Amino acid sequence: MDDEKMKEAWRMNACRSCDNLMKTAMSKDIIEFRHKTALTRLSDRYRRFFTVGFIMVPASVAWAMNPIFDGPLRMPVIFFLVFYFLLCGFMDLALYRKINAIDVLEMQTAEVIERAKSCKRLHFRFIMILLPLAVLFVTVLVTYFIDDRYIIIGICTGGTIGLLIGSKFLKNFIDDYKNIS
Amino acid sequence: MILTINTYQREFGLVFFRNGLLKSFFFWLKRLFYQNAVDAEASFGRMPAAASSEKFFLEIVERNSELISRICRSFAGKDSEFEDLKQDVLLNIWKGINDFRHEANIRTWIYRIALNTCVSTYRRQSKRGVTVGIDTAYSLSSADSETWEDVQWLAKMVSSLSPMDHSIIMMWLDDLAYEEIAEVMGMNRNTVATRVRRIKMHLKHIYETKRI
Repeated sequence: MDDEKMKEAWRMNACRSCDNLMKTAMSKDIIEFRHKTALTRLSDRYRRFFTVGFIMVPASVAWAMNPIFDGPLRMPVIFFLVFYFLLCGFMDLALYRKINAIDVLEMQTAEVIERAKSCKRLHFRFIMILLPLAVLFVTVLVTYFIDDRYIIIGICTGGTIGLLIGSKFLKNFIDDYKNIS
Repeated sequence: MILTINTYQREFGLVFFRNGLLKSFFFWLKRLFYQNAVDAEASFGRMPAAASSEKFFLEIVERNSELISRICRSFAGKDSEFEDLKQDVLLNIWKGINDFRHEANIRTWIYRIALNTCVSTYRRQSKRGVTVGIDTAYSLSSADSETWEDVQWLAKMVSSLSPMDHSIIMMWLDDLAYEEIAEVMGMNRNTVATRVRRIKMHLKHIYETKRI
């Protein structure tokens, strides 16, 4: 396939039914800035995540005051949860700032591509740090409460539900990470 | 030695002396969390006020609707993604309409905004289908099968390239000069030429392999 044939095949692929483009352009969603771009929605998502992350710091301390943590376990649980949620909050804050730094109107395409790729890579690396820490925490809890049947049932039920919901996201995450790399 | 104070430090000082420690702490927090959002909102706040801007925007869209649709369809895997991308691109063009008046070439400006919008949101490449316009499919239905296969194959191959290669080869296929491609991408002209050559070789190699 030579250059001319390639260009001809490309020209033949041109979309001719573009009437609804004008209709979309004239819609209130566009003219009145009601529509949110995918980048803006992603930025809002990270903003929600870091807000929740920081709110969970005092909430997790309150949760760790539960009588089941009486004894030597309480302080390590509190320190771990405070550290974990602060880490989550700051990671999401960093991603939020990185996403907002992408200006599609002013930047050139190569720069936007590099910044978007770097954001995605960072997102995946943060997940690779946070996921094992969460698994470690649950494992320590299971080990400590091994004699308490009901707590183990609760942890296993929650863990199973989490695994069922999370396995699909984990598979997509691994596929995405391979594509990014 | 002259002590220089930037705007933020001056504002912080004013808040501190007028309102005290607590309010200045919240001021600092707000700046820390929302700094880029403030900058982003300031840039998004380029709201075209005059009706002439709206008319100009609609004229640009009308004249370049095929181009915009082609770029969005190339990056979208499904119709729903195409609709989303289309809206995002149109919104970004509308936001930047006031700045455009200073740009020299409308085509490269549209390319830059559309490509930036499409590449800034990740779409899983494995789920991307063949992106052929409906009218094209209809008009080619009576054409020979080899032509139809070539069109489908090219659309699929271009869509499967990395965002950088996809953007560059799309502009080359649309007959943009290397200088224009370099301006949109923010790369050197020779770099663009090398990349185009490499991508073409890659596509031709796959095409020859497919024929065997």
